[in-house]
Amino acid sequence: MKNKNDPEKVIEDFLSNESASLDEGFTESLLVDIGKLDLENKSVSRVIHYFIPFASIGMAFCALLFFIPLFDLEVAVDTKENVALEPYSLPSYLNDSEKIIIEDLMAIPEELNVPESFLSEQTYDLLVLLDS
Amino acid sequence: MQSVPNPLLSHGTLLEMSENQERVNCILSDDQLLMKEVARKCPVAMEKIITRWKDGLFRFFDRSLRNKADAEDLTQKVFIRIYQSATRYQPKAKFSTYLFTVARNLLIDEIKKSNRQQISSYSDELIQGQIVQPANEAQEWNEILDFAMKEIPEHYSTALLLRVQRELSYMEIADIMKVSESSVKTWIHRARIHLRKTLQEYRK
Repeated sequence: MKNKNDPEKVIEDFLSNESASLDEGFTESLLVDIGKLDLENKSVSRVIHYFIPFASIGMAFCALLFFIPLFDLEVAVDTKENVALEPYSLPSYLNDSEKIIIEDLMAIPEELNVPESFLSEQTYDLLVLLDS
Repeated sequence: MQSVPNPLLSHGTLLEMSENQERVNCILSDDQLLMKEVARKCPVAMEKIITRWKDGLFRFFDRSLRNKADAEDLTQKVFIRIYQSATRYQPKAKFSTYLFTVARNLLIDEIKKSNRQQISSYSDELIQGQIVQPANEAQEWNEILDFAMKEIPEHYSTALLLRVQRELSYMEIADIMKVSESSVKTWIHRARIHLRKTLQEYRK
């Protein structure tokens, strides 16, 4: 039997630390803390659960608002083109002959708006030589 | 003759699966089964684990940190951590190995955070009046050994405490500390020598 003053026994008793123990309320307070953690985790997951669909809807709405003016511009462009096709009403201060000339000019097909490329004199001379 | 199906791999009807589950559960220890219940957020299972292991953890931290408040705080953190990771818990090793691995990791973090400084000596502290004269011889020896524990590295004291308090084998301690068995034996031996030497010096 070891003497209680034996150094090895003293060291073993010290290391074992048998006398140390926690308060009685430790387990209960810890379970309460764990319960609070669970509630926090649930509320976080609930926020995420509802946030994502609403955030998606919000983002879709913002995207829609962003693109709507672009659609209006295209409609405006179309309108402008349509305006060009609307019948033009000549001002009243022009006399009849001038009105006829202007109307004739407006009736000219669009192909004539494409500028023609005229050949130079030298090119014409070459063509004449080739013909002969 | 049909071979016995592997309970961990076989599938089939619900009745067969529950029978297989029972066989698997028989292989697991009580604590490992409790952890499965904790993963399902069963408070009774968590309470049983806490009741079973709280004093052991507290004694370990108390001797490691030499501060009861910090020891209690860390004991709490261990249980919170295992609760939070219960769904990821895999019963690959003994539950005590898992528990004290978590405990040791928290201990190392705490030591780094607090940046615990080495003290000069027990006698210097006594002379400077920073510690009270112990009431009896046993208390004095405890305080001397307490100071001696501060002087040895954390891995020495952890290996020694796990050996003495938990009566773990060298292999189990090596698993917890992620080192070889020979390192564990060396550390325990050196720690004991230091404690013995310190005690003998003060008893002269």
